[in-house]
Amino acid sequence: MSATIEEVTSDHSDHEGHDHDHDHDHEEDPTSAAALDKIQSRSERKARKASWAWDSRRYLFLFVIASPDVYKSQNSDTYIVFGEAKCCAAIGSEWGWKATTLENSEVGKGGDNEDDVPELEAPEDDGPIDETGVDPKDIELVMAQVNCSRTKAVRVLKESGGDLINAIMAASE
Amino acid sequence: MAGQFDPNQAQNLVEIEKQFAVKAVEHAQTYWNILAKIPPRELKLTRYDDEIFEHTLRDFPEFATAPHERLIALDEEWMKSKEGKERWRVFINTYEKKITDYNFGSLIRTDGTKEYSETNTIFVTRIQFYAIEISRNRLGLNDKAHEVAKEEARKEREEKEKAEKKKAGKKKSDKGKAGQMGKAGREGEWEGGNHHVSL
Repeated sequence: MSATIEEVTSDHSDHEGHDHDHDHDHEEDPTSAAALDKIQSRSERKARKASWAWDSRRYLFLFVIASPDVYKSQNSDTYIVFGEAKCCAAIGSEWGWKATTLENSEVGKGGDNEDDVPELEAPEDDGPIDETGVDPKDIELVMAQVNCSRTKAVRVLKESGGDLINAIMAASE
Repeated sequence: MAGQFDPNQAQNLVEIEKQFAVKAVEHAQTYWNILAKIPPRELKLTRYDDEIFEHTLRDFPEFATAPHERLIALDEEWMKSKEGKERWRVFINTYEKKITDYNFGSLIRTDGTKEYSETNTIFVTRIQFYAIEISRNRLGLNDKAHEVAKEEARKEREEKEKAEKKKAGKKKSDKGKAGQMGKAGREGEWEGGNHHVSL
């Protein structure tokens, strides 16, 4: 029964029926209870489940977003992309899809490696800032936790009135 | 539609409630991450830590007596009992002007030696969170949690590295994944035909 998934075709209607008795001897699965436990946010959990369910059909769709705004979640490898998505191709195949179809296109280069998405830095963080009244230890901790500039760390700490947790939360938004 | 917003008539919008929950979870998560990094005895959460600590032990002497079992394991029944509520109310109100978010909902671990989990978490106000966690930190009652958090962070780092390695050699575990993905699909919201994209 464990091989049923291989037979999935463009008709997804048989999906419901065969999802119980696959062997569970997998290395690491993003939808496993252990993996999901680490993801604290309910919405992220849902989104992940949904997107993995999608992948299980072995269909890869390519959306092109002309001018995306990309944000990275601080605590996980999750990216949120805003922008108008246009669908340009659906490729039903194995993982090798990118090698064959899209190697030379712009889209292929941009889309196949999400590691390339840069982490966004707030632009207004240049220049020195007055640090009086802010604990240097707190500044360093915020910087280390959120990976932000010293200026930003000082600013969020000032805004939070020295509340460390709130400052870190504000800096990671 | 330009009418005044009347809080007494306002409904509890599910979306808004979710936002609060998300914030509370983020707050808890952030605190846990800090616990992983900083030895609790040295941790400072607000500008008023000294004051809050002293005030807590003064108003709640049951927390102060060693071995601090009341502080390690919170008794929700007691906290939400008539007597407990009244004592906390007096305590909480002292901070109305001092601590922003003093009455925001926050998640706290009932057993201070363990991590946040479904069964080890209750909902309290922000200032109660500070009162209890600052006291736990200073009295060394979070030292164990610090180790747990550190260990967890280490594991997470390793998983991440593993995942990155795996990404490089993506092809192999393909089949294994597919097996459980079906399971996710059962609960997933994209059930149905909407993953067909017509060209």
